Amino acid sequence: MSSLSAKADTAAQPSRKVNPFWFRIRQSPLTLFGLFLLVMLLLLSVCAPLISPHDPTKINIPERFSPPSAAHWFGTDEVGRDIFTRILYGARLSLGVGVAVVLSAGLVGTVIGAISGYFGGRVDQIIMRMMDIVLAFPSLVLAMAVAAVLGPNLQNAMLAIAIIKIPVYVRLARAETLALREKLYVKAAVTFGIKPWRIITRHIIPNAVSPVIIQVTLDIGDAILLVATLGFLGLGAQPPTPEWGAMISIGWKYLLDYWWYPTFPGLALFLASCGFNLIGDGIRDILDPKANR
Amino acid sequence: MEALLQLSGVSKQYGKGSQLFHAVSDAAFSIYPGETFGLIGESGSGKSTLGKMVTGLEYPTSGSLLYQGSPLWNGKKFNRRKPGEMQIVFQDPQSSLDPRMKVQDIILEPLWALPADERRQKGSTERLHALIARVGLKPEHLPRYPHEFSGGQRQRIAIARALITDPTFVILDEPTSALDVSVQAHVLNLLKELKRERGLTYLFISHNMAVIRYMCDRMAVMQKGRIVETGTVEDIFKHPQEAYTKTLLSSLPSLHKENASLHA
Repeated sequence: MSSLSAKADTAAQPSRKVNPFWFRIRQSPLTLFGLFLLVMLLLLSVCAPLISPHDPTKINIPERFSPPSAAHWFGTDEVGRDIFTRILYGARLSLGVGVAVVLSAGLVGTVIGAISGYFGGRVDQIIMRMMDIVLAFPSLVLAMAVAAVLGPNLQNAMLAIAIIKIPVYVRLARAETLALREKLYVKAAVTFGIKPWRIITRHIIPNAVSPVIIQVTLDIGDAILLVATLGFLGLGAQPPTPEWGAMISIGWKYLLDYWWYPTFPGLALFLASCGFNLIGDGIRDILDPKANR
Repeated sequence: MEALLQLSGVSKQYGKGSQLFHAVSDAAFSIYPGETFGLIGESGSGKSTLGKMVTGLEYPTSGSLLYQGSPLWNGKKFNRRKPGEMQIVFQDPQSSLDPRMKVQDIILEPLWALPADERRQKGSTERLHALIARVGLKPEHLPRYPHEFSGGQRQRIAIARALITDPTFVILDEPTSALDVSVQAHVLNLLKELKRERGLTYLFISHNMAVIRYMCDRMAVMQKGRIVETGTVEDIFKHPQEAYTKTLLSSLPSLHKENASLHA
């Protein structure tokens, strides 16, 4: 990191102190665009009640399937609910679920990976083979299977997505742990007679967390897409919850007559996952010392 | 007098078959309470491996290590009878301190191996402040991170960490070889004073003859995993028996008259 920041500093104005991280982000228009998308999405979802006067679940049959207008920017759906409002509230759900799922998968995966790497031997073998099993399945198929077995609702969909995301973090944390285990400060703690659990929580995990954070930013977009996919297949959030995937699932039947119904939720989904992926790629490039730009 | 640490026939082998490597072969020596025992040898002579076997990082493949008369190793299992009794200061203070822990947490860390009441008593603020003042640190250093300190200061942190449990026996694994020469002298003097004040026993591992001579009472010379010579520092410096010891001695810069005579 030091050589990286030094590079950024010399390129910037020598008199002004520029945060190297922010400097690198400004270098990349795509990352900046991703950041812009996310900030907009976050603001819109947080301020949803201020922006839209409508209730996302209020049924208003006389106004069903009204096309986009001043009153209903993105039109209304088959029971007269305002689609723009539903997208805003859906953003809360998608962002919240995406972040929550990936963070919990990251946390659980890191702990399991640290245990696996620290103890090694048979424990390591058993854990890693289990992770290989999970990774061997196509992720969507496994998520569908888990969600279908547990029953179709949002909590189970989140659990299913967290389960398929865990192995990546286990492998990441295990690889870091194998390197950290050889560090002198870990060996010092061993000679003091510190219990393994304390060494893992105090030394291994705090030092292994950086690559995990990068992976988290890369995975959130994917998780949002997976939540919507399960919703689309009827295995995620159930109606009348304003969830993008579920909205598209009902809306696509009306695509030919009422184009706005599935189009706008789809667009929102596209922009959200685009934003997270651009940011994730940007952060990875910034933190990759081998990237030469 | 009963030996504090007694090694007999200690060997360590790595690998097997044609890959077999003898890191330490048949090492034997005793360390008595209150003395500083020097272990000298070039890189790869097995002196650090011996240190690791004493501290529980590597198990011996044969031989016995007795601490106060009871064995340290039971097969591959290390018997830590009293945690905090034996401490170690490592060579490289850059990597022996966790970069994500504050100095205060680093120094207090060994206490977590002790029972809760003993931990509270030994980790009291007054004791901590007295200890860091003794090793030459200030209370305002406590909430900082290791990267904010120089090599010498970091080694002082490592020394404070080793002493917080009130050990009897301290292993110093090349404690000054990563430091500047001027800082080395300060740290060595500090170690000497601490030894006198607290009645410590040291096992001092080094490749530097001058440092050994300054610090130690008795010493053992290691070469290729074997102890080639053991004796008091005085005897070995004045009348080296082995060719290897003489080679080591000739590496000393001869500023003083008594050293100059060795080259004659």
